[in-house]
Amino acid sequence: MPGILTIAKKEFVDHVSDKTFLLSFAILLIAMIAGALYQVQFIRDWNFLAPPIAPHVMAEGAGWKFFDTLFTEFITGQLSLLGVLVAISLSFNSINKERSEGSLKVLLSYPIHRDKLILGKLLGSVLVLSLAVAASMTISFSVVMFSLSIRATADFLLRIVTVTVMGIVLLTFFLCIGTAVSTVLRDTAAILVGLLLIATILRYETINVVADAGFNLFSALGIQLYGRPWINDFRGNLRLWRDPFYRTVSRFSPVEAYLKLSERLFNWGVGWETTPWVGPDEPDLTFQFQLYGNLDLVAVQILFTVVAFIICYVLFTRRDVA
Amino acid sequence: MERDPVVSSANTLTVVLETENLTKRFGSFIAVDNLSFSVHRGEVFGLLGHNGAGKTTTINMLAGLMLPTEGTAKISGHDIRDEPLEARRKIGLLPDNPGNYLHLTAKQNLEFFAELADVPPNIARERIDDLLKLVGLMEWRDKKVEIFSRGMKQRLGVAQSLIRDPDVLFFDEPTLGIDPEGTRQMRGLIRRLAGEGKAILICSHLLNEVSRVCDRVAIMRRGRIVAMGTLPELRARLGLGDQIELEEIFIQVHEEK
Repeated sequence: MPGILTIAKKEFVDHVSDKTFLLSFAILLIAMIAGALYQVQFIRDWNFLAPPIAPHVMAEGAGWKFFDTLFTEFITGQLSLLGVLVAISLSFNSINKERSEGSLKVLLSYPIHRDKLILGKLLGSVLVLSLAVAASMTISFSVVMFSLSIRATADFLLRIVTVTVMGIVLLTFFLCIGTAVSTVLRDTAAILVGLLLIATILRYETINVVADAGFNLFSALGIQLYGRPWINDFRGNLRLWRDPFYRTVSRFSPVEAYLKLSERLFNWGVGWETTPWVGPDEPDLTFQFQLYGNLDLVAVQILFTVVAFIICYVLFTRRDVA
Repeated sequence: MERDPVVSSANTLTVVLETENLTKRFGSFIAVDNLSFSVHRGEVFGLLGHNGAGKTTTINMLAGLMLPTEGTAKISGHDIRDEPLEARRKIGLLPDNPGNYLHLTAKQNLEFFAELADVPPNIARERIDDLLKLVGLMEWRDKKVEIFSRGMKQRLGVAQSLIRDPDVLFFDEPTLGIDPEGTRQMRGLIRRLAGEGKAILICSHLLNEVSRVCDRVAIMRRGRIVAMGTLPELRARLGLGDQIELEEIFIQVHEEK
């Protein structure tokens, strides 16, 4: 443990004093605050179209019928894009920069097990990421809550805490993937291209293309088989093929799983794409119910991150990394 | 007047580094091929060769950065395969790029490595001061390394390699890119450390420097040692006169094979 903490402490100091990290964090923060302000305006505009409902009431759930995005695209969306770049830059610093400056060789020559070395490096980086995510989310959501006079209820705060924690899990996934790629590849350009490719493939737009293609296929199949493009869910309500299919596809990407989770936690369920079901009754919109109903998305993110960690750990401890 | 250490005979008191058929393959490419040699306490041993001869790979294996494909080595009696941590406790490494953290001060660099080597804090404090004095960086101790010259970074690297008080030091191209004054200081430092009983293995292709600081040399070619000994021994083997320099010996050995 002493070796791990020594490395973690050093890694933490390295990152927070690194100009590249500070710059990328500043960009992330600005983008998220700008997204939050844009979101506030978006909600106010909708309120203009639907005047009977006050913005803060809508934001607390009563307006669920009118919105299909509330905070998703402009806050958590920014985190899942720019935050990934921050995580990648940290992983790049952690291995490749040390390798090119010769300090990785020196570190490896010390009487410390490699597993302690990689655990220390990841721990230090995750701490930095956690602080960055927590600060960005707190500031962005504070802007929204203050602007729309949303009360800081336990239910609402728990939603923020959940997407913040899952945001850290998401970025930890990319940190581990970045570290693994930096361990295997030596060439700086190859590392960057490799990481950007992975990040792009796992992006939600790419997944959506697959989802749309699948949706069309399943809708056609549904019509062929049942004469209609929907199915009955376990409550007997009608659901379009698209909903379960999107949900299935989102399980193949931690980014999509994160966005889907945050969408469902903050949209209070709107329309056939995002509600647990479509029917005459309003769904249960409490935090507990919504989290419970989306545990599969939480599990997907955790599973991806654990697998990425194992890959990173095995590569670093078994390969000639210097 | 500076001595000509290669002419002097090797210190034969205690063997602290011994390799036995050390081999490293990368796929079908043999980087190091059945290397066997030993280095004694207080001896400066030079590994010479062109780029790609296998010098750095040899140091990387001995310093625990990569495992040998075959063969092994013992450092102060500890086998690098069976007791890697114990072996690494006995070594210090100065890579071709000194490996300092540029955003930290000289003192912070050494504090970090002392903590990593598990040196007790009270001993570490004293040792850091001693080492900074030894390498002539005491007045620079609180300055960030990013403003250091290449020679100063190399000297700080030497201090880093000594922080765990090792028996064996591995210096990879220690004078590469340093100005003549820095080179002279580094040479003096190496001889002083050898005088204090450290065994030092130097990798270099700067033959003039090696001939001025090493007690014995091994010339490597395509991963194999093709000649080894003191300068007089090598001259005698090749039937060369007393005035022939290491550079000429190096060329002859390569042509011979």
